[in-house]
Amino acid sequence: MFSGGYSTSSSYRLFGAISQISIGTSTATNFNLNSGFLYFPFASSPAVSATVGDGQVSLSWSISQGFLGWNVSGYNIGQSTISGGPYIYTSLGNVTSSTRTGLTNGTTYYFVVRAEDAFGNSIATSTEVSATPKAAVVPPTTPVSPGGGGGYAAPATGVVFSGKAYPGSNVILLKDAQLAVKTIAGPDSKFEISLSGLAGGDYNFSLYGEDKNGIRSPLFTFFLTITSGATTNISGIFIAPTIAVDKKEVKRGDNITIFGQSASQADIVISVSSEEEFFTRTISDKDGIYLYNFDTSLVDYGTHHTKSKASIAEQLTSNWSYLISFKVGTQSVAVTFPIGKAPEKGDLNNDKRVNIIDFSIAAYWYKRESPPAAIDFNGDGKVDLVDFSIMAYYWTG
Amino acid sequence: MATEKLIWLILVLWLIIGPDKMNKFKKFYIVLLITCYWLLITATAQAARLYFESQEATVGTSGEFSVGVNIDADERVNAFSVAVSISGPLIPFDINEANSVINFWVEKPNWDKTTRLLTFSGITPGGFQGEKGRLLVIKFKTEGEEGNAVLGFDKKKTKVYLHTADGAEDSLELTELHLPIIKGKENIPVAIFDNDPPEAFIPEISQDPSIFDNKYFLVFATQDKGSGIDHYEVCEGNKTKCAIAESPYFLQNQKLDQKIFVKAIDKNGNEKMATVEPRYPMKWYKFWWIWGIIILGIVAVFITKKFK
Repeated sequence: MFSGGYSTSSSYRLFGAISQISIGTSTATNFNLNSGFLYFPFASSPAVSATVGDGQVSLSWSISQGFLGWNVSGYNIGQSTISGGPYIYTSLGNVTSSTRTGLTNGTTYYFVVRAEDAFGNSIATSTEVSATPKAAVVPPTTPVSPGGGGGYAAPATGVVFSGKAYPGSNVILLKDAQLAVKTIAGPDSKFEISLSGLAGGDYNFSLYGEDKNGIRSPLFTFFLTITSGATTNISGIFIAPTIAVDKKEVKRGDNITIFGQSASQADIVISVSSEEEFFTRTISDKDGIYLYNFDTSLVDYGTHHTKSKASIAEQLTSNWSYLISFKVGTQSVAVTFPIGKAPEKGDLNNDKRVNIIDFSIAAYWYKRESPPAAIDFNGDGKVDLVDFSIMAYYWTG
Repeated sequence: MATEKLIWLILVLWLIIGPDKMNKFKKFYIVLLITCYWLLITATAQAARLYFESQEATVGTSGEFSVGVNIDADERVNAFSVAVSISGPLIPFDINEANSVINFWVEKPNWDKTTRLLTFSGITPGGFQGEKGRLLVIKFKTEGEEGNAVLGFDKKKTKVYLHTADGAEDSLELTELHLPIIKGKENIPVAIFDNDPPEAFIPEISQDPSIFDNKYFLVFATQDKGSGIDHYEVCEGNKTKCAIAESPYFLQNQKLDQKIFVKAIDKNGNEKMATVEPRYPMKWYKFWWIWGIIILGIVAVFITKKFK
């Protein structure tokens, strides 16, 4: 048994209750009665970007997603000149950007973004991001006399991403949905990616992890306005876990192994949903590998779905992994290894990726008669925007 | 959403003034129940909102002005099919897609004068969630007359899809824009200073049994954050033999033994070129200039020996 985030207790007493956990913090309007201990709400941690300016810092952050009854109703920004705080908080309402002005150039400021529920409770906090405002560099005017000397280097326009993936995993950055950079996370799961030479403007950046089996996480997507001549730092990204099962079909009563990779020693919550949603918990090992043997006698015959999410020190919480399905039937059929690599749908040219090539093939068949079955992802006899939406969901770049 | 609210209101009013035979207490409880349910629905319903953001609240009869087509999405959305209806003395003459949340266009923006509909569709891999997501900017001129213009969305042809494994449709709230057009006011266009070329990109050669008879084709796409991409040109073999092209592009040189150059040109004329190296480079003896050098060498040796 472990704390749902509100308690600071180190010992627990077991009792039964039918209520919201963390009383008064949920805005859920419908409820299910389930057995177990893990039905506490959570919200994913926002990733925060900081761009320095003259006496100011522009902050923006990813939306914090609430689950199991929690809905994010607004955000607070904590500001300090000391790393780790104490922070002075400003309430901003339900927005995802803010410019902090009146700052002293040359002084390093530390910021955190706190997501709040409708009752003003803090339900998710970002990691700290730092930024040092600086005076604008004025380009020199054209020299009056020739003779050389000196020079002017225009400040670089770029972006730096940092956060956690899985130990030794590939971390892939997409810029406007196309492959930009691929890097490898360290043994501590940390990664940092720099991208320079950009023009000022609005960008769609996505990151995902690829574990040692080649299984991919969903995209972590972040829309960002890049300021010309400035470097934007985005920190606190926590890539969602990968997930797989060892059987396509499992004989009812046998175990099915649900596994994947996340950061090392992360709390992994696994959801198995059928008519009723089951939650269970495990901890990833030093390599970030997690594994759980799920007893299928708990669920009925039919197709079921599973997904996982990770949290570190009850502070940094990822989004959900992909939702994958398995069948509970009368026999057990193992998944053929090696698994992973090929996305479930969208890979039309069988190169294990969903990218512009697949998009182009699908675009060729858009609204044409008798498309090949492989392109008609939802099997409705036509290639329309629904098929493109499915392709965008499984996109790998 | 406004229609749903109206239906609920009519239902509640009918219950209050309608069925005479109903017990007063019963009636009260039903009205209370419906009101609570309605409040609950309106408080929790999540939808994407499509709306316009005009440069000016009132526009003049001369000059040009811009209107942005924006989206607010409570849930993550990844595919858009939009039909903008334009009524009144307005002429859309250009589209700026420079900073759109749409990364790949399934249908490029197209203005149909007859139906007065501007249609487009595209996708955002990874999805968009948040406020003020820009789909595109429409540049307008007026027909020189005073009046009222209305920009709206064709409800049947406008759809937004959630970022889910099954491409579920999101519920939509569509907001019109009413633009009074007055005389004596000149519209001042938003100046775009774009000296940057489009973003660097990597075209890819591919083949697939389902298109172009399994022959090689080229795919490419990039963005321009200033004025937007105007067009692409593909040059097979050398940089001077170019043709305006769209992706996917059927390659004339199926041997893939020559370089391919792809130019992306923005609306300000800035250009970015990407080069695709030949997949199966020609053997040295297939180059005429190598044979020229060899022949010249032989001739030179012959002449030297003869006149020694």
